[in-house]
Amino acid sequence: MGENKNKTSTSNLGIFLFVVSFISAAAVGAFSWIAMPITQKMFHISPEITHAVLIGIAVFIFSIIQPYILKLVSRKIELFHENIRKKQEIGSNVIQENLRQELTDIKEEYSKKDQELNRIRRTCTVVSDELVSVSRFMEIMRGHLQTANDNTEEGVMGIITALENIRDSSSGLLEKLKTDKDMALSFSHKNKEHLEQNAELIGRVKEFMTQRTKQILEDTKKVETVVDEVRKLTSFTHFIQDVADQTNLLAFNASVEAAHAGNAGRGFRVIAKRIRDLSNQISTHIKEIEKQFTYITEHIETNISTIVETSRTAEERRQMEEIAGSLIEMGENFEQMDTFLMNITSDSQKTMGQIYGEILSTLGLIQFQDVTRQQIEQVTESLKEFEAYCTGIKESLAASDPGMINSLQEIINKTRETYVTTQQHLTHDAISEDQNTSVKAPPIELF
Amino acid sequence: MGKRIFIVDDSAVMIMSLKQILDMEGFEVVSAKDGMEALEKIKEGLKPDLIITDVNMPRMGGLDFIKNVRPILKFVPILVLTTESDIEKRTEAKNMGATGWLVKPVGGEDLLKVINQVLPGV
Repeated sequence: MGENKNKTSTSNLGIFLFVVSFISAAAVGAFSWIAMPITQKMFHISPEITHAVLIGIAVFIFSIIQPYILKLVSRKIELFHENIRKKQEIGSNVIQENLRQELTDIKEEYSKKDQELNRIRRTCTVVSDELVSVSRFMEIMRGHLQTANDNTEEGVMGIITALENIRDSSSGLLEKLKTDKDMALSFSHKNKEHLEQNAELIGRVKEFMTQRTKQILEDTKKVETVVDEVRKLTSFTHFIQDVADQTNLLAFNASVEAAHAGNAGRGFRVIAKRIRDLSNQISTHIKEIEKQFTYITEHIETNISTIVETSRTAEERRQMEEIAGSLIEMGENFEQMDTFLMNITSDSQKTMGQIYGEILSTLGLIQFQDVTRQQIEQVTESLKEFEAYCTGIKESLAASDPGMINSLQEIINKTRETYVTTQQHLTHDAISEDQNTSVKAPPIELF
Repeated sequence: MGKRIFIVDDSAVMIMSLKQILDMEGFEVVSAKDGMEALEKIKEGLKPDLIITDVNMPRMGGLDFIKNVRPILKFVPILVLTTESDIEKRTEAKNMGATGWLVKPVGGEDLLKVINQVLPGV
């Protein structure tokens, strides 16, 4: 404050000297300006001389009044010094008072700052302690994210493996079907050839059968004619039988008449008996002949037609055997085809079963997304808590108030309570070196 | 149409996954995204042959859903399919009338095996 006063006094003295000098110069100028026209009119001299004279007069006047001016200035300076001295005395007291006040203020400020520093120190200590938990918290979060990442990787790898299996199964089946298709084409070509051959043979057989039918009809007619002829012979046997019967009857009558004749008829009786015996023999032979005719007729009807037929079916048989051979081969082809189709069906069924199982497995594996989602959501929630915690630290540091800092360990403990999966518990316990408190239960349980 | 299975889960991926598995076996699948929606559907007259529910869902969780639905559907088997490993919640579900507890992820074949065990006539 005293310093300011001194500065003000020095400034006032400067102004004073400046004013005195200005007035002196102004007085000389004014005198010259007023006196010059008058002097020129009065003495009719040149302006240069007038100037010189006027300046000389001005200097003369100034030298007369100079001691007074100097005295006045000296007095002013003395007053100025006196004033300064007084002011210095007053200023010194004020300064001392001010200094004392300032010292008190500084002490109070220092005390406050010291207290603040202590609070900051305590806050920093708390923050420092908390930073240890931050590291653990971050490690736990990293562990959860790593687990989620591992689960994702495992799930995706599972799906890829299942898709690879499906691809392999499909490729295998496709390859097999391609090979089987070639085989089926081969069978088809063979059967086509057989069918063409058979069609040709059947055509030939059909033609042969037409001729054959015609021939059989002719043969049948011929046989029937022979049989009729033979049957006609049978009627002769009937006639002979009839003659034999009548002869027998005559012989009987002759015997009766011979008996009536007595001895005279003895010879006749012998002849009659002989005739009757002959008739009986004829009858017996006729019956035998009839039997033979019947046998021959039947034999002609059966055996001969068979012989004729047999002799004329040799070509037919050969052709039929050819067709049969072809059909057998076709049958074998079809049998192979059947086996082949069964194999294809079986392989397809097996492969489709594998693919079905893989798809079921893959659809189950997709569920990893839900597990991972919950793990990440849990980390997100924890990070929100951590953000609030960091805001608390920031505010606490700004206010130097350690009481405003929440305990991160409490947040970690709270986070632990929100876990839903066993894996989350395991990850947490592994990092925080806590004892595993989660109870292991079977993944599938029916009550 | 086969037996009707009601899936209650807030995960669209889970619903899709289960629907595909069950479709392949000829089941009819109906779904709801939380317990509240599921309960509304039941009250509107939905008659499922089996219910598969998650536990942690918005609005109404699986355990509350079982508690509310059990008086309505006394004999319908209810399977809990969840990531939840808390043994207390498992016991709670059992006490509320759940038929079984399955921890995600469950393979398709395992799920079908369990369904065959709890669903009569399959």
